[in-house]
Amino acid sequence: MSLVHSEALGVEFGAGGERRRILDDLDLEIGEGESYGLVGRSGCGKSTLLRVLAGVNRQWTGKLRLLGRDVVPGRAFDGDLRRGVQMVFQDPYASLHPHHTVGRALSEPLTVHRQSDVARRVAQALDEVKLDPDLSLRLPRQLSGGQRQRVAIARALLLQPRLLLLDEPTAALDLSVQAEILNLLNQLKRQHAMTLVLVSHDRDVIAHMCDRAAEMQSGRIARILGRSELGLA
Amino acid sequence: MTETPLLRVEGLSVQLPRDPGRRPLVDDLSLEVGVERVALVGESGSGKSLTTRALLGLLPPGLRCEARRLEFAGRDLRACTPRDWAALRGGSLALVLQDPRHALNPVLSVERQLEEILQLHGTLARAQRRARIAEMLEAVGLPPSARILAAYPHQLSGGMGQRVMIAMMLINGPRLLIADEPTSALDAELRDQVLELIATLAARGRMGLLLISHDLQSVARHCERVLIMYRGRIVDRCAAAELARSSHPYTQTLWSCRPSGRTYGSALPTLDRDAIDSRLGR
Repeated sequence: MSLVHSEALGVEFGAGGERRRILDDLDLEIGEGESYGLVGRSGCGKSTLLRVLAGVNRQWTGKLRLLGRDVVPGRAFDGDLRRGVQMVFQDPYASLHPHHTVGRALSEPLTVHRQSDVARRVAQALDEVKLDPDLSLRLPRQLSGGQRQRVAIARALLLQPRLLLLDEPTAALDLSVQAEILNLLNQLKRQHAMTLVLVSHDRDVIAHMCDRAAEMQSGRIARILGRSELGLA
Repeated sequence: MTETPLLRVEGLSVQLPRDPGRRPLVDDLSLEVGVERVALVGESGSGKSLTTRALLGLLPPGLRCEARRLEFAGRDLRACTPRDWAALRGGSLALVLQDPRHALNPVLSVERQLEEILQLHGTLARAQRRARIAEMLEAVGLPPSARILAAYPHQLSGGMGQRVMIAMMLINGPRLLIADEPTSALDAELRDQVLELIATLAARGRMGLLLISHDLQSVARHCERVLIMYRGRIVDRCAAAELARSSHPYTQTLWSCRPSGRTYGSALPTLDRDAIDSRLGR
C-alpha cells in the first residue's frame, strides 16, 4: 500500500510580482515500510515538500493522500493522521523548548493527546533512544548535540507514528555521532515498522539509509534513484 | 619537515581555573607544524578549537593556559602583548573560521573588508591595494566584478562567503594558516572544493597549514600528516596515507564511520568510549 501519494502538488510563496513557485506539479509515491530520500541543492524545495507532508505548511494545491486518507489543503491534521505523521528537525536546539526539561518535552505530546501512563511511557521512550532516565530533569542546553537529537527522536516516536519525516537529522552532528543516530533510526524503523522520509544534502547519508530517493531540482522531481544508482555514491 | 618548524608547541594545557582537580580541557599537548599540511581531527568537545584559540591568544578570559614552549617562527608567543598579537594575527598568522556569516563584518562590503586588513598590516597605496584585492579574489575563484566587490556578507552564499574569508586571511601572505572547521557550514558538494582551494593556496604560497576538522576522511585527502585528538589529548599521529591502517581504535572508528552506498543495510561502526577510556587509563 502506498503511504504517501501526491498528484500535481504545488506550493507558491509570496504574492503579485514576488510570487515564486516552490513546488511545481509534483507527483510522489512512497510505499509502506520504505526508506525514501529527498536530495537536491539548497532551495530545491525538499524541505518545503517535507513540511507539506508534516501538515506544517497547509497552503498547497493538487492532490495528497497520507496513510490512506485524503488530505484537504488549509486544514490541520486530526485524529490518527495527527499522531501517525511525526517530524524530526535539523536543529534540536530550535525544536525543543529551551526552558522545558526533557521530561516535560516528552510528556507534552502524550498529555495533549490525553493518553494515560505518561511517566512510564516517557521512561520507556528515553530507554528506546538509549538515554539515561536521569536526563529527564535536564534542559536542552545541558545536553550534547547528539543527546538533544535523541530527545527529538524520542518525542516523535511517542505517538507511534507510521510515517516519520526527518529533515537533515544529522547535519548539525559530528560524523561519529551521526553514525550512532543513523544506526538508531534504522533500528527503530525495524522495531516499529515505520516508513521514513529523509531529507539530506549529503548524498552519502541518503545512499546509506534509503531504498529509493527522489532528486529534486527547482521544485520538481528530476529523477528517481534506485538502489543501483544510490550504491554508486 | 626540513628546516625549523614554523609552529612549536610543547606541553600545552588549558584549564578551568575553578576546578584544579579536574582534568584539563587541553591536556599536555605537543605538536609541530612546518611548511606542510597538518590536520588536527577529533569530535566536538575534544579540545581542538580550544587548542586553536590558545595558539592565537584568543582564549576566553578566565581559562588558564600553560605551555613549556609556544613558539611561532622562532618567537615566544607566551610573551606577546596585545599589540604584538594584533600585528601577528591576520598578518603572518591567519585564521579561517567555521561560519562566514559570523566571521565577516556584516556592515562592510567585500572590498572594504579586504582593504581594511591590507591597511592594518601594510603600507600599500590605494591603487596597489585594489590590484592586490582583485588578484586575491581571482585566486579564491571569485570574479573581482563590481557586483562582488560591492556585496555585503548577507548577499553572498555560504560558499562565496567562505571564499571571501579565505581571501581575507591570505591577502597578507601569512606563513601559517589555521583553518578551524572551514567547511562545516557549507553544503556537501562545496566542502571538497573549499578544502582543495585552501590546500592548493597553502602549497602555492609555501605556507604551513593546520586544518581542524571532525571529518577524518575528507581532511586526509588534503593533508600530509594527521593528529587525532580525544578528550584534550593527541592520542594518535600518523601520515595521511597510513590512516586506513592505524591500529588505534578511535582512529579506526573515525575513519570508518562515514556512511556511503556500500554501507547500506549494515550498522555503521560507532565508538566504544568506555573501551577507549580504559585504554587511555581513565
